[in-house]
Amino acid sequence: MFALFSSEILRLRKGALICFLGLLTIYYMAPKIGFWDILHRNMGFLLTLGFIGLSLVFGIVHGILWRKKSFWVFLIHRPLAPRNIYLSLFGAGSTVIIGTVFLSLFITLCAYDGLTEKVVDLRHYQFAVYITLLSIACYMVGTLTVLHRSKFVILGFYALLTIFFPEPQNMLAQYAPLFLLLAALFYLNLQCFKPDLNQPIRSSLGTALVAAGTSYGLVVALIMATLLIYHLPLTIMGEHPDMNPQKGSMKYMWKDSFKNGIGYVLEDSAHPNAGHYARQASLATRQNLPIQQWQAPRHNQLHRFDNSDALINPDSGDIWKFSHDEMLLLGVDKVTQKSIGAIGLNGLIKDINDVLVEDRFTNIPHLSGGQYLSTESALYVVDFDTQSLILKHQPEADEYYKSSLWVGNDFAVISTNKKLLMFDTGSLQDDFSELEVDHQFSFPTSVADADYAHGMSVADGYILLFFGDNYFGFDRPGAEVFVTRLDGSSERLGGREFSVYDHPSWIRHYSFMVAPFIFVTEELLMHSIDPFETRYLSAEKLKNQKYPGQIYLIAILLQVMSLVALWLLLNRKTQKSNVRGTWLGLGFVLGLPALLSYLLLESGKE
Amino acid sequence: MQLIKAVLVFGVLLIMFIGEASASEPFSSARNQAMKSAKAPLLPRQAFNWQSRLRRVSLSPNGAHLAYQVKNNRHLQIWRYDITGQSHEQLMTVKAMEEMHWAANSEQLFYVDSNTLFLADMKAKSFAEKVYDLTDVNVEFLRPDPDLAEVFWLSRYLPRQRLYTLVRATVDGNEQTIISSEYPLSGFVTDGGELTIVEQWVGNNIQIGRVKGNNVLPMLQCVALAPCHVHHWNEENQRLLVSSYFDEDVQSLFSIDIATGQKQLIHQQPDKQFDISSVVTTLSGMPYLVSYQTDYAQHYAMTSASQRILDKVSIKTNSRLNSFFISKGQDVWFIIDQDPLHAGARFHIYLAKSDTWQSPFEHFKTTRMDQRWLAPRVPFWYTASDGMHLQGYLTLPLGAEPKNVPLIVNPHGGPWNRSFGKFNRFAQFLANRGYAVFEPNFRSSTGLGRNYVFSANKDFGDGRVQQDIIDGLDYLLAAGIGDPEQLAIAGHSFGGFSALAGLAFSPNRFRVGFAGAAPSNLGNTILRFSQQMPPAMAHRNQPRFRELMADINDPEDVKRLYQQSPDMHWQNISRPLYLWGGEKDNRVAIEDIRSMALRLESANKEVVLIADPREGHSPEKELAREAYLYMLEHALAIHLSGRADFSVSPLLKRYLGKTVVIDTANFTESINNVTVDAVSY
Repeated sequence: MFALFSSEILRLRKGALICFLGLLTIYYMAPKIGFWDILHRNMGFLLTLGFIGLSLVFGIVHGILWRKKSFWVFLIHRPLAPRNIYLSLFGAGSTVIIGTVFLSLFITLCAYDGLTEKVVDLRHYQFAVYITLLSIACYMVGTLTVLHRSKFVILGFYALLTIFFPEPQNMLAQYAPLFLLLAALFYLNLQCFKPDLNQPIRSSLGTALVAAGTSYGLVVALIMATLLIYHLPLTIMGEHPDMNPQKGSMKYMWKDSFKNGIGYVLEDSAHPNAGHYARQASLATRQNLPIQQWQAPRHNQLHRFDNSDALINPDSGDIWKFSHDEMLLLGVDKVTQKSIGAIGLNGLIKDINDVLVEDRFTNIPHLSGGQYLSTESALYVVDFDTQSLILKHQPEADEYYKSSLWVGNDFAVISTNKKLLMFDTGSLQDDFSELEVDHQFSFPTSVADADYAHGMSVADGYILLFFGDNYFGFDRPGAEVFVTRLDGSSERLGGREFSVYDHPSWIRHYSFMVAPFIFVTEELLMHSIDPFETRYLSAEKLKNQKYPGQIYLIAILLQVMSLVALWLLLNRKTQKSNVRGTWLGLGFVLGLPALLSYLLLESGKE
Repeated sequence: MQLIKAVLVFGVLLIMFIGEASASEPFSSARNQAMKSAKAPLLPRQAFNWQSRLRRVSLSPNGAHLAYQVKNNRHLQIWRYDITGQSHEQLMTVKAMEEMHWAANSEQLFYVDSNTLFLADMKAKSFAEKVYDLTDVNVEFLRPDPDLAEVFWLSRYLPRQRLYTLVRATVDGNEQTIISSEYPLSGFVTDGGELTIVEQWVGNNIQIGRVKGNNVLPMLQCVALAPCHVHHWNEENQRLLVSSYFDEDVQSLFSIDIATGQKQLIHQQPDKQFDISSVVTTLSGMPYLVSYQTDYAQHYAMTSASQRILDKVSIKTNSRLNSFFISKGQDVWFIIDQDPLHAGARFHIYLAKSDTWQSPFEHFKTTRMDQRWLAPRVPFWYTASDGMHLQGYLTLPLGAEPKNVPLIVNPHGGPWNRSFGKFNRFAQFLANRGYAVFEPNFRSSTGLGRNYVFSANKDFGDGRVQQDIIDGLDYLLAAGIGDPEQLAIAGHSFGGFSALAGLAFSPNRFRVGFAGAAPSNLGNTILRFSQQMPPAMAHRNQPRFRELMADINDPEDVKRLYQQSPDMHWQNISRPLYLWGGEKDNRVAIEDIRSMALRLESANKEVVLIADPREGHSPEKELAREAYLYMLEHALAIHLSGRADFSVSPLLKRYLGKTVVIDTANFTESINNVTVDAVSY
């Protein structure tokens, strides 16, 4: 077993060495040519994306090498059980990934940590571990694609992407799905590694895992199909609702570049000044407002999820990065690359050894706008000239910031759990003036389900528009308009429920209709990983979704018909009862995607 | 014979005595007041830095309301005062308000905020709407139409065609170009919403023309630098009511018969020393009230009705410096009293029909200065070394012998501007710190006649204008005002230039100089100013620069100005210099100020520079203003025998730590080391 492992390592060593040296060269040269170093959030993202793709390719190539006829014969005639052979080969592949991906990152991190003043935290080392595990998972998808008798198992790669995109709320959410996937992929690879690769997986668990992974990927294909059957034809005919908004629909707000958007919402308003403000809004420019709950930066989060990489002194170019280990902003001189101290809650500390406990931040701040730091309870600005930290604003005692700070041309906006606060950008940028709230709008309960908000500056204040697809309840799109004034007063000007839908119900609820179980479980999984992302629905929201009757009817019909079709297909083939039972179970739960999975994975491959 | 001799000697002595007495007369009351009064306590800087919440006030054309602004933190509240009901009502809050004009119906208010023209309904709360976008630099809001409520007038320059147009616009978005001409517009007169008279820049002249259809029929021409301004055009008798110079040295009011060209002088300042400053006419265009900014202010009633009211106002306010805003029907007078004897302005309304008075803003504090410690301020005239009669103001500190106190020369900015007779917070600040303050109206100052301006003869820097300042200083010293060994010069903008010139061309005269937003070479400044000005506005200042300072297109003229500038002779500066500059200044480049400071620094001379990245030509923010005053009083107290409030708030300390960019005078270092009231006078 070890001999096989060694020989496989020897076979891959040259390529691995080239990759290793190539990666080291890239990491070394990238910052030299003005690109980001590996500690930069953008590089974190690029490396993740790059290693996912490369590892998948490596897995496929490695699998193809095994399957070369002469080598496959050589392999399976070894005096080893297939399981041990696979373990040797997988061990070699994983070692190559560790030796290239992990080792190159680790060496670079150690070099940065030991030889430079760059901020290298535990989370950066953790990133190297995470990215290595993710690469191994992708590698195993590649080998599985080669080992499985149907190449459509690659659709299961989608499952990896679903856990890659959400921003995990904690370490458990970050690693648990990855470890589960690693285990599942390892199991499937073991199951597929057998002398006759054309034989199907015999175990129920293996069948279920492959089918489930493929089914989740197939849902994406089904959604993409609406492009062909709905969006594209209507677009070609020039009748797509996005291009021809109907009066009464939400899209109609944007007719003529939103010229009468507010007037449209306020059309039936009884407010005496509705017409006046509608006219004013038509002359105003719109600004997006942050009303959605944000996920505050998490201690030791992967650096690719950082909102901003660093604060940079606009005059000197000195870089101030936040260290999760030190809980301080650490400064590095742009030219000499030497430490220029730290900025903590009490301002500049020249020597890091002089830092007191009270200097350290207690929460990870969110960096924005070049010089701002915000936590849930305070908004700070760094005065680079005096290297001090100035507390600009704090929400009231019973409030906390629920959004990050958005800095626009005229206004900066931040939301608390109770209010929308708007500041003049000038006073925000003024190091010496206290930050005064220009507009303060207490969120009424009615805006709780708004997806978006816009603000429009008028003579005496701001017009605020809140709207969303589910504003007045599930599938009841609507909008409300308020005015908030500089004197602190606010009032509702009116609202509108959009009775005409932009798209027919079968398009609006397509995901649920074609795969109810996958839709629900995917939403729940994503929501459990990233509960702050409003695109992912919570259990409560899912429970409150009441679809039109025909959607339920079509969903049930699809589910039943898929199950029947699957049963008929299974009857045509001789299947082991456990596998047959598994497929029927999958068909019962997953419906149409299970049927399609069966067709792709099993049909005609007896 | 003996008797004759005795009479002659007596006569000579009498003349000498009278001459001496009249020479010291301008200062005698101030001197007495200063010497008899107790020494003023050191008032906090905030007392001089503080600004009233009450800002702009405007009387509605029908005299029924006042619209006024109240500063509320960073915002402005718009309030309406109902004169009949004597009630105040807050209407709305806005971010800024650069202009404020009542519409003709007295029910709406046009105002400009952030390059947008708004129309506010003054009868309803929070009801204003955007009327016009003014972001195009070639478009300028001129004023509302005086007769039609929803009409306003704009000027628009068409750069491609190089045409200047006058546009009549309505609040519902209609526009009509009334005049399109190659000549820039300088003024216009309307009647019932129709354009009747235009004033245009034609070369170096202002041409007044009558509008007939699309044509302008020239009626009168004046020199642009001694312009005429039309107050009324009487179509029936073809007469223009115009304020101008013509053959007079001071701007006066004339009635001109267009048919014959005959000019009739209607009114002129009796001493022939001051230009006319405002003219109020009746609805029929008859002169009603003529005003002059003299040593203080003079108003002349042109009708018996206005004389009656003027007499009443005079008795009621007992002020030497009133400003009047009169309703269209002349039945309501809004009066702002800015007599220098009072620290803040006072406001009155006189209702002629009921013969009643109102003081609508008594509830507003207009000053934080204690009236008891107001330093006396007097105007005086002196004779320059070339014999020209010049005017200025002197402020004396309380509780000190004037001849022993340090004297600060404080030239005004411009230079085409002047020091006025009203309460001056800056002079009061310096007087409270123990200094006499001399504010010279040197040649080129405006409002004192044409010759006063033209006789400067472009001689800035090491020349006639600076000599006027030095002559005034010598006059005061000779009159026993100020300690000749304790002199300083401090000014802003052109006043800062004079301060630089003072140190460069009278290097041993002043012990310290303070220059805010100071150009060191006026040629650079007018070039920058001209380049930054939108083309539509360029005509307004270029003739003035060319005729009164230097032709920027003439290298010889520019060279002449440079050769007599402190920029060229900076090496002569040997005394400490304190500089202030705003990095957003679009008139005086911070680079020029920094360059001067760097040269002085490299020559190991004492120099301090505050460069504020947020400020423009003058410090506007409260903290910046405080830092300005702090540096000034600090500089003067260290180098003269005055006193200063050396207390520094942590915020001010941080501000100074951030904005003091050059300091070879240990200014920032000493902030921590000096104790309060370290030096006394």
